[in-house]
Amino acid sequence: MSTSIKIRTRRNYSIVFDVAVQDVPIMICRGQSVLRNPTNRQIADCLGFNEAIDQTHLRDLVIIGAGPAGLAAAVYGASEGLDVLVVESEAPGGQAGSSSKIENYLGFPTGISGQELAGRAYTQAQKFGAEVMIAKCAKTPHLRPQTVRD
Amino acid sequence: MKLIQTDTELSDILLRAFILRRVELISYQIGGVVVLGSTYSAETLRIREFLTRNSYPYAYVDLDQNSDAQELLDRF
Repeated sequence: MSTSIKIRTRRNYSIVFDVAVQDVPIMICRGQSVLRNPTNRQIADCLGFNEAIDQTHLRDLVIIGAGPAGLAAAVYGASEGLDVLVVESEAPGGQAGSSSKIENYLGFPTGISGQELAGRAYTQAQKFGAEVMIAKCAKTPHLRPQTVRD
Repeated sequence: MKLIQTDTELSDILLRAFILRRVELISYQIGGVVVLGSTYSAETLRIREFLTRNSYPYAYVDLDQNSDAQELLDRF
């Protein structure tokens, strides 16, 4: 059971395609591909969120999770010259990113929205050269303790 | 990238320009992405939240309000 939908977009071109009720929501990606109820990973792949990141590159520091702590670590690591990669399963900001107002974060006496805080931290991390992978999960890392020698 | 990290004055100008450009794109919904969904659908909310939180500009068409989609809605 499907029906045709015609959509006129802001820039005045129309797209006609078939959809079924179970397909909703639908995402039209750059006017080229139609994704039916895409996962976050599919959206990120379609929009090329991680395209510029070289996954084979060996890093000095890999951070799992781009919440406030992860982004702070990325900022300090990258600003000290380390090659940093952050892996985030959803979007920068983590749980704090969905907060409407954070009033107990150091340096913001009148509060800041989670989205704004996350946006600032994300931009700051990128400014120093840290790379952030979006919609990628880390598997439980099996780390062997390493002895550091003089 | 090297320039942004070494020249503070230039980096401020460039960074500010990029941020303002992104804000403009989001406010005019220019980004080549159209999301068609319903206010009553959890999956629509998930997709919109994902795009918003990644600061990606998108246009949203609510199928509950779009007359072309009336036929589809009749089947709900």
